Amino acid sequence: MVNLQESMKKFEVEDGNELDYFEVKYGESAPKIMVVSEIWGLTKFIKSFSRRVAMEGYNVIAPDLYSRKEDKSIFTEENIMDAMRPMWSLPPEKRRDPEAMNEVIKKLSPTGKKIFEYVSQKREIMEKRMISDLGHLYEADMNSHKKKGIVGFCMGGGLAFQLSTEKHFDASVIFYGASPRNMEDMAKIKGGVFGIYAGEDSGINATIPQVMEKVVNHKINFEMKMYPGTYHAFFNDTGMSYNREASEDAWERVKYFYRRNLNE
Amino acid sequence: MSELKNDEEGIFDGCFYVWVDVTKKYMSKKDGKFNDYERIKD
Repeated sequence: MVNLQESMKKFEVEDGNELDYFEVKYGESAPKIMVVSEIWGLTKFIKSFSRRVAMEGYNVIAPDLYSRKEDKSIFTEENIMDAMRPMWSLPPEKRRDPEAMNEVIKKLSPTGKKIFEYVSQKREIMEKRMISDLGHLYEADMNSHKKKGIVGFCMGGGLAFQLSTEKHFDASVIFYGASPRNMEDMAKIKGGVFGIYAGEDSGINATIPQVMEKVVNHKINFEMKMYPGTYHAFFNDTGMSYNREASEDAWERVKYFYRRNLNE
Repeated sequence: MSELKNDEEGIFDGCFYVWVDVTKKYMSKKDGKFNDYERIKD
């Protein structure tokens, strides 16, 4: 019987704030894996996935990137959903049309408007802040570990992919995440990367050809699995596009990938 | 990390719009009710 210990902890970030992270401990000498969440934050899914990973013999940490005091009441799942709902009426090609967008913004709640600020004019600040926060958690809690891994989903996948170009990870798993913005950064990746993609996820998948080009050019230890017929977030068993068959297959592959890159 | 160009999607905004499409696709069938995700309260 595996005796896991879990708790909520805090780590300090660049602006002096303290953020929360969920930790599941397997044992002192076990490799450490960081789990980076979808846009919804530190959800039940992320916590339960962290436990699943820990059960395989890893120490796991999952940061709550929305745990600054001023963010906690804004970036709830309900508020994020409320900010998305009015966007349904806007065709994707109109998302960069200021006039059309203004009409939608009028329909947003006050918190929805705040969230939308981070989707629009503050999007770069948000992205850099998240990368910086993850980097601080890495330095505070992972750097001294001999073997290190990361896994991220959607937004967390993009963040994990970017962070793997900046910090040393022996194994990075990217679930339907954006590719690094500067593809040349991929040359700095030291460990293995496993990219998992949904077949019906055209936005995320658009940059895969450039990723493959860099993989070949820089001889990166990269593996990829595409699941035809699945949709974005197919792995999330609490979500709307969950696909049991693909999810179970991906999980087996993730475990094997980590065993090879973190345990051998 | 390079600066975001105006016509370029970043990680946060790109993911937001991916989810706008996902939630539109699935939740419109559920009368737009929010019942699939529950924020951890602790």
